[in-house]
Amino acid sequence: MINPRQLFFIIALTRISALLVLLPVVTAGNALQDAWISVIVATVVAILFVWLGAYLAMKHPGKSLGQFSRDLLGKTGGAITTGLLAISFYVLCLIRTRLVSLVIISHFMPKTPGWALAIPVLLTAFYGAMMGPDTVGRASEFLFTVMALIIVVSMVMSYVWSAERVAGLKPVLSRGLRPVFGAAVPAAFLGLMSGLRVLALGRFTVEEHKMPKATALALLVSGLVLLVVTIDVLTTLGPAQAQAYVMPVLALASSVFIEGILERLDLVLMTAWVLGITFDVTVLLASSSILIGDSLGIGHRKVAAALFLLGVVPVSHRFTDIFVMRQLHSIPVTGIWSAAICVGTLAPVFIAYLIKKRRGGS
Amino acid sequence: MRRIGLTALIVFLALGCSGCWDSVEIEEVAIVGSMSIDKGQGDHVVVSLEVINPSALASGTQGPIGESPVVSVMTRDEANTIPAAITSAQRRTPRKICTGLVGTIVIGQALAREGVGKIIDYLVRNATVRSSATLTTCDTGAGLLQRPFMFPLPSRTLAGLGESALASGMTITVTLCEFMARLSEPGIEPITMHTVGRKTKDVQVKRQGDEVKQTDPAVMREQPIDVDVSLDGELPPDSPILNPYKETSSGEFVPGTTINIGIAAYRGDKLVGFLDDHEARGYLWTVGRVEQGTIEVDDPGGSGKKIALGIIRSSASVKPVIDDDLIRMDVELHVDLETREAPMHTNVNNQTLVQALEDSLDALILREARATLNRVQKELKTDIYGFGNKVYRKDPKLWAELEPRWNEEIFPNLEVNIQVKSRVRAPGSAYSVANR
Repeated sequence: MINPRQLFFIIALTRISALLVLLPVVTAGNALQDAWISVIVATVVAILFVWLGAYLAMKHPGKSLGQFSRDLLGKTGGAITTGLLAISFYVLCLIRTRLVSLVIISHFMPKTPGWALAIPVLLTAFYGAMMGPDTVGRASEFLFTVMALIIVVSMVMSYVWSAERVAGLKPVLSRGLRPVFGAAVPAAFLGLMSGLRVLALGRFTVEEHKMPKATALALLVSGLVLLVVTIDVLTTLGPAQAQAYVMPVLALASSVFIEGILERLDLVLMTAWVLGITFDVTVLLASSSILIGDSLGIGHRKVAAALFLLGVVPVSHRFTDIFVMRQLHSIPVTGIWSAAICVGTLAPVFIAYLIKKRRGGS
Repeated sequence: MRRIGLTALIVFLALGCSGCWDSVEIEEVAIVGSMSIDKGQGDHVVVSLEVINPSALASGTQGPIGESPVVSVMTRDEANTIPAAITSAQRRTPRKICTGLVGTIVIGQALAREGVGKIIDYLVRNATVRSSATLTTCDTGAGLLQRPFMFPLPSRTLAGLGESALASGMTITVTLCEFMARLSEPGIEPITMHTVGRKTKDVQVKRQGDEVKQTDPAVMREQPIDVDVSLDGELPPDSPILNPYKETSSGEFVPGTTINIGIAAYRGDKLVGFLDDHEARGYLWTVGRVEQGTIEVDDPGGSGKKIALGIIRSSASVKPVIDDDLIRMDVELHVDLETREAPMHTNVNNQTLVQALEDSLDALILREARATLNRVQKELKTDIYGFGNKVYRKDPKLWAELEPRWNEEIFPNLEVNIQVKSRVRAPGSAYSVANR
């Protein structure tokens, strides 16, 4: 079992890891200086939708979405709503795994084949999923502390030691609201996908009444971290140049040089990111396994093993590359995907819950 | 439990093996300390790399048997693109060239005037090059890198010169990151440190018994280094191009020295001119980035001598005033100084004298700032001050209208009001020198 504090760590850590290095609020859309407003919009939107999910999980203690959606919508309806979210988790898990390998190859290890990097990450995720939520929860406490420490130190260093801040944050909304809302879509999607893991992990969470608060707080804290990172990136690199980078945060870290102490801060951040993404992939695989297992009445470890074997080929092969990097975080892809999750999973389950509650059900 | 243990073992083995493909032993790496890029024939670039030999550096001049004791060598290659030139250098370098530790990038004037966009593009795309690397523009060819002095490595000497030059208050260090931000941000143009490659003789002071002999005046700035060396054929083994830092006692081979003397001003990615000495300081006053240095003013007491003041810090506040069609910049400069040297009997505890001193300083700083601004506005026509950026931040819609005409029409005629408020904060460690 995991406690609400561990749930907070898991959700905050996975959201920070998903957004940190690629920083889609800066690279997607055209918000430029106003990207920091996109972070706030994305965080508020994510909290609103995720709170619904956390509320549902709170009202069904000891059950995952796979179980209580069946109670609310019947076998077929429950399987469809759960399947949509479970498959989304699984696809994201495979994409992130491939993404890690691509980033490492393109930046640091050009000769290494993708599978040599992707399979170890997937193996680690599989190991984590097999160990179960208890182990994942305990690991999150340690990893969150490490990640928080690295991010805080990196941001302080980049603020103190990087180049003169040529670019400022004004002007606010000079190009209207459209670019700001556009840039918020990918970040809101990633927040949604991090927060909705509560629908799988809620089954293993004690003190269920604290789940909505822990989930919302996790999104809020991760939002604050992203806000600081975004402002730092925009003011140091300049909005236009930051938008042109594949990974703006690594470019920011590359501008820091403290002779004799730390010569490559970007490598430290990269290591932290790989650590965070590996944890993220682990939680995605575990959540997906739990949802599918509960929906079909199979043990989640068996499902995790099947999903691992099924994922080995896609993460190792180039044909999945079409879904990664900028395409994954593009506004159309994340917008449609978010809408599908909200309309296909959250809305029907929540409406069914309200109807049942009105009729006097539990 | 056994299965979990087996899985854990596989995970650790898999993680450990993933680094095998790109593994490079440190003994097999040729670390590039500094890089310089010159204009070659036609569209070619000439890339000079200072390649460090870490093992020789670690062991001093007595390297292990079979290894060269030379701590660094310089390669020089010409090609269409920078990666092709580095690949060419790789053909005669027995170790793998690594650009991850490049600390200084020197760009030759001829190339800089044509545009450095291609260079910046290479540096940004190459993930191994740090954006903390310092960019400098050399008014001679950039191929001649710094000879080692007080540091074993030329690149370290070059980096040290860059850092110490700030103490003059007449130049500034600009990193690749800052250059790119200026290049991409509206209404502000890039600058770099301006370096000069000069012929020099050994400046070391040699003690010979009681006699102290200095071999030659330190630097002769009037004699630019001749870098027009033919790249055809094999170079002789003692060529300064191949091994420019080899010490000789004959005096025939004289390596060059880099001097950091000012600021190179760009418009877009093209160099348009240099600001040196007091001109550079005039610019730095206006942007509030004079961090150290010495300033001399006439003694207000009427001794006819100079008083030297050390600059403690400076700051600038720039406010755009937009009134219908009129755009004006109000610049307020704050400079804190302390007395470093004054004529005897001068008591800097005297408030009347201090006030007169501050008035003189205000006038001097204003004169320097105005002179530079005038030259930049009328001659160079490039907004390195970022006044346009201030307008952009205040009124983005107005900036969209002004941007196409900014550097050519509006900036050269922009009204800039400068107010200077200097403060002599400290007298040094004594108010005056007591005398009978």
